[in-house]
Amino acid sequence: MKQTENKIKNAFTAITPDILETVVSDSASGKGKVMYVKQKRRLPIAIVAAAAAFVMLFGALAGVLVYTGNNAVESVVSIDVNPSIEMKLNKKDVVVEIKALNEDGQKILGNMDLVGTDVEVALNALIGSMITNGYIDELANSVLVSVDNNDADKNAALREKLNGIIRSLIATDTSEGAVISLQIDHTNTDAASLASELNITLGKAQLILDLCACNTKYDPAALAKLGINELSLILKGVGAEVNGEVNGTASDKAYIGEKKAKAVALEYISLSEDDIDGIIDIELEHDDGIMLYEIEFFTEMNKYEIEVNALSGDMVSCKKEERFYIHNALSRKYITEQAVRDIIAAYCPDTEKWAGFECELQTDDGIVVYEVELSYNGIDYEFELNAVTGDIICVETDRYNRDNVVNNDTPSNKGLLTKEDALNKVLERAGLSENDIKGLTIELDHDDNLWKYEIEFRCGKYEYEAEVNADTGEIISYERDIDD
Amino acid sequence: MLLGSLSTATENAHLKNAKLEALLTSVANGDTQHLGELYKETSVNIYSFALSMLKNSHDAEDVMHDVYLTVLASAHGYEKRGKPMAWILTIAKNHCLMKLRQRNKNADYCSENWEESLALASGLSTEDAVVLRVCLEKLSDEELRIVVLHAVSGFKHREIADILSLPLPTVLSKYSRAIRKLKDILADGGTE
Repeated sequence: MKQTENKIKNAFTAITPDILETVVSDSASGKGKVMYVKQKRRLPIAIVAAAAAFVMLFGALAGVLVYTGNNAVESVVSIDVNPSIEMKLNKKDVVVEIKALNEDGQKILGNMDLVGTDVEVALNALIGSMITNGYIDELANSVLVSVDNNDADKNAALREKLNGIIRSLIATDTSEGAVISLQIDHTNTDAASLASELNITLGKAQLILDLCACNTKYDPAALAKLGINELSLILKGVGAEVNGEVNGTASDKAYIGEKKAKAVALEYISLSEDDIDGIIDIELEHDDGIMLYEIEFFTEMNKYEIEVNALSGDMVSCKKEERFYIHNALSRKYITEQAVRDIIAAYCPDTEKWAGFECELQTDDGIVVYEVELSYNGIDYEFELNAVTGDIICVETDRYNRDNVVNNDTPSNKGLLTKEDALNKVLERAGLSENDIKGLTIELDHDDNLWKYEIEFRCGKYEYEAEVNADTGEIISYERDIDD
Repeated sequence: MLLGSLSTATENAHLKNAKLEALLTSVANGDTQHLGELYKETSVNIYSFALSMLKNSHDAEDVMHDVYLTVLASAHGYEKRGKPMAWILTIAKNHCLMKLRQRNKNADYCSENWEESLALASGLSTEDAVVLRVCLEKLSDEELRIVVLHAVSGFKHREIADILSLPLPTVLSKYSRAIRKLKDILADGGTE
């Protein structure tokens, strides 16, 4: 038996040709590399065909034994552009399962059968298809790849590998494209619930939350409507930290550009560059899935905030605010801060006891007002005064502190009811004494030219709410509800 | 120098694999000097396997060429698992399957006349030529692959089952039947 085997070995050794020289020269001349790349690109079809040929040759028995060992999923990789696709890989980075996560993904995946191919081959095919179908081009060339593998080292290694492959595929002579590679963090339950709520990948959800962490104005649902290229541009703008790496630069060629946006804005308000004090801020922003330029600038009298659609160049919104504080300083149109102090002193006469006095000009419903805050006798007051006439529009005090009931001064010169008197009116109506009640709050408010006390307290299972006219002591409103 | 100091006589399969892995690592790092050594260690296995798959000497030579270029290009991706030869032969298998597919498309392919081409091959003894002709003509496709992987490349039957994706009992029974058939034919001077 052994003898026969030796004969076979000798015979096959003798017939093996020596092609080392050709191999060396072809590999040195780079043919090997070309061959490798070319082959990788056509592998998706070749592999399928090869698998079919294999089945034909070896019959239906083939494969079952080998495959069970190789099917264990080690990493889950998801690719987002706008199409989203998820691949499950075994430890050799071979695709064991692949599925589209949205309609665009379905379009990309089509009839391609990438199961059993190396992840590099699969990526070649997927990115290639995205380019063919116009999802990746000069105008939008960002890819989000998120890797789910609990082994941090393997995760990082796979991310680096995928990043390299994708960047080489999306880069062109004029634009390098951007790849955001994220490590999936299963402890991030917010991302998980966002992903299921908005039907997006966990990676995209993580990215969106990272963006929202940088700017509380951002709405996750609105961000989810954007493609990865837009998110990538926003990410660059806000400089958010991500759980992974960002490589390359996303293309903003699809947008009209800051210069054009500024021109559109100025044309809309019929002003020229000379009329404005300079642009304070121009930012690529988004609003409910639309990318826009947000431009802020001053003229002598006004402050403008204008939004221009970044793709079409259409006007989206224009907000004009009077530049009142500067105007005030120049024209003395508004009363001075000293005048404000004098008016407040009528309510809080002992100015020595004033603490934390703050006075700020604001606009409220188109009226310019002074907003004044101060602490007086342990109570925080907020006054709002018409900045032109000095009329008090509104007064609010903080939650009433029971210890202050007795010591509390009320605006005596107005001849108002004391808080204690107001409370007694309500207690009388409710048939209760001061000792029966809990959770008492009393606020003095000035509304519609009427001074009134707002009184709230609880007794047993009931909650009481009442308003008392501070001038007349009349009970304006009285409610008793079951306290839940 | 570790590579060179391994004596062929004392090499067991484990050491041989370790050596092959070291060679793959060095060619992956761009060290073409070790390419010759890698070639020496693997060329017979690759060519024989390709020949057993394709039963055509030109196609087998083409595939061997392509396999080396692929190995060189992807050696960096080889993970050390102690099975370097199996890895290389998997690449070879894929190339062979591609070749077979091209052949299926190409209707005018005709099988090789072994009597003729073996007679023309240089460096073959008469006995070698007889053994080859018998193997290529008398064994079934599967028998030939199993015999080559075991007798030439020294793979264990279990490993052959893995490489060819066949159940182990199939490999065992086919192998013993094939080798008995060969022994009988060769005992009769190769004429059956």
